[in-house]
Amino acid sequence: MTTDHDNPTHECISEWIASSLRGDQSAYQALYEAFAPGLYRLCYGILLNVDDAEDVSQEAFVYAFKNLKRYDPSKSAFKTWLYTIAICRCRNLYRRQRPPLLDIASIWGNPLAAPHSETPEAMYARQDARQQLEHALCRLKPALREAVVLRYGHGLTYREIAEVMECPPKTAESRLRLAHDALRILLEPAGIGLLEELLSY
Amino acid sequence: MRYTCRHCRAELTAYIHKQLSPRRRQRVGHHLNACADCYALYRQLRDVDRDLAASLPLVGQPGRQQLAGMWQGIQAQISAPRRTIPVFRLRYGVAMMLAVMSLVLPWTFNRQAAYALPLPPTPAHTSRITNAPDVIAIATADAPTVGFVPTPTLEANDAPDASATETP
Repeated sequence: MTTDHDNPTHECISEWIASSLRGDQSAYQALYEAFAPGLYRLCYGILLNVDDAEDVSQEAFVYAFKNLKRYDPSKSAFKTWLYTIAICRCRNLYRRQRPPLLDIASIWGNPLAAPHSETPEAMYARQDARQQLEHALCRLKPALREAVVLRYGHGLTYREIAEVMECPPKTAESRLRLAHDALRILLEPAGIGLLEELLSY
Repeated sequence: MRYTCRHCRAELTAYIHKQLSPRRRQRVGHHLNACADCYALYRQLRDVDRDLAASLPLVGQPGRQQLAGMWQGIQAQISAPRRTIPVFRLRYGVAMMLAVMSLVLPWTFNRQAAYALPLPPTPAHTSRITNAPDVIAIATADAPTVGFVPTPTLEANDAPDASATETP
């Protein structure tokens, strides 16, 4: 497999799926490597907990690989199908344990990759900004949080968000509008433009 | 219908995300040019949108070790054989269950029929009780005699006070 795993083409994905169905383990691995980082980010953005995000990502992949025969490329993209599976599992999890808990250890123990030249003050400011963002996400309703993570974390269109969330496009649009407005109020103390400035350092 | 601030604010997020049709987009644009309040809100929302678009993709980036650990778990689960019941065992089980039910069900019906029979009267038993010395017999003119066995009588020295228990 000489293709780039970060941006696989449709042909590549189709080929991997066909090989996986024939029992090729390397094709399974190629699919995993292409979609695992995104899927984990999605689960983490929704659940805001490292362990839960790992468990759900793993479950989603196992389900997808075991039911690969059921995937219909004419209905949706593989990414959308995979995200739908992950979202369903996230919903099952936070139905069992609500409200979602913020993993403080992950915030302090697993910070974003910092540039070598970063000063301690800038590092703390960046961590503080991330903490504020996660707190704001945590205060959103699960449905709104899902919409925000899919839109801003993964750049999905309204139609794709509706597909993944299994709702009409108008509902996806209104959820995004509500979430956007709620985040405007929640992130107001952080200052307009502060997060971008800190995180793009 | 007149296009108000409420209409505009409902469409601002979709306007920022460029998800509106050209006609609706033009309508929002015209309103933003005319309304200072809506324009201020639009700027705020646009800045939040830019912040989120820049920061959210960085939240929850997995490490290499994390991904490798997850892959090991997935491989172990995929390669594990599925726990399915063999078809011949399932058929055997169903056949056994039917055989047991065919034996048990008629016996159950017979028992229910036996329970449904009326109970025979037992006059000899009641007469024996009424003849007993420690039994108080209550008999009415119409009803058959019914016997009550009193509580065990206490010895004279065990009884606390005979007058206290005596009924008027």
